[in-house]
Formats: sequence, structure tokens, C-alpha cells
Amino acid sequence: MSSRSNPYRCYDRRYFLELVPIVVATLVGVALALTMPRTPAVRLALAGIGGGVMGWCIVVTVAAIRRLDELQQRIHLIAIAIAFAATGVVASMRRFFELLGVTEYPSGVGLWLFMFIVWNVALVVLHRRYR
Amino acid sequence: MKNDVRILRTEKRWSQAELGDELGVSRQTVNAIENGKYDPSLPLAFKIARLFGRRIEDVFDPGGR
Repeated sequence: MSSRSNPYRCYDRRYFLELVPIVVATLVGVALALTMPRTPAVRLALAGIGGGVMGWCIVVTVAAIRRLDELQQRIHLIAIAIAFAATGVVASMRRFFELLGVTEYPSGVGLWLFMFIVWNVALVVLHRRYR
Repeated sequence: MKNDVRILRTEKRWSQAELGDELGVSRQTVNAIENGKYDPSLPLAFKIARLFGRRIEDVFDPGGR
């Protein structure tokens, strides 16, 4: 167990090695999308690759968090809860901002990115609280 | 929850990192427990008590001292 104080200790070498299949699958998906005609079979394969990438990403991330000790897991749980709530607020306020004329608004991948950023910012803040 | 982890650790002349290694947790977790910022789970509390050869209620005081 590392004794260094690091809020991002879940992102270790093993985590990044486990992400390699995601990079490979994404490259295969991109190659398929660019070179093959969009037949139903290719579309199905692309959807399968997309689903598989997301599923593997979840499995790898959960496994990385489970390797942490109980305080680190607690910090992650609170950070994820904060990110989830913040993303929910942002998503539900979309219509409100549209009425105000704001057209550039995070949605889809943008929302996932927003959630990831809030999660990691919350990690740093919470980590300092328990330091 | 108050505890005597810091006292017991210094009696053994262990650093927080050394105690963390013995318990399989990070130095930050040991520090948070010692400062009362974090209450350990029951398995970890038992592990701490056994490591110091004490009963769990001799190390941790839920009422605060």
C-alpha cells in the first residue's frame, strides 16, 4: 500500500494497462466505420464495439476503486455522488438555459465529460479534507 | 469517535506509513483515524486492536473521552 498522499492513486499503471483494450477496440471501430459500407451488420458491429468499450470502461474503473483502501473508497463514493448530483442539475436546467437563449450547452458526451471533471475536482477537495 | 491509535503507535515507535503497511491501508487513512476525521470499519478496527494486542473497546471509545 502506497504511503504517499495522492487523490488519483486509483489511476495506477495497472488501470492504464487495462484501458489498452478500449483503445484497440476504439481504433478497430473507427477503422470499420471509415472503410466498410454502413450495412446492418457493420452498424451492429459498431454498436457492439461501442457497448463493449463502455462496459469494459465501467468494469476497469470499478475494479481500480475496489483496490483502494476503505477511506479512499469512501472519498470516491462521495465524489461520485457529488458529480452525479451536479450533472443531474446541469442536465435538468438545459431547458431553462435554452429559454434564456443559451445554445452552447453540454449534452451527450459533453455531460459525461462534465461529470468526469466534477468527480475528479471533488476527489481533490475531499482528499484535502481527510489529509 | 476518540481512539488511542496515535498513543499505541508511538509506543511501538512506528510511523504512520509503517502502521498503514501493517494494516494494508494508506498513511492518509491512519492519519485520518488518529485525528478522529474518519471512523474505521469494524474489520479494520478489530485489525488495529489485534495488532496492538488490545481489546477493541480499549482502543476505541465511541462516547469520546
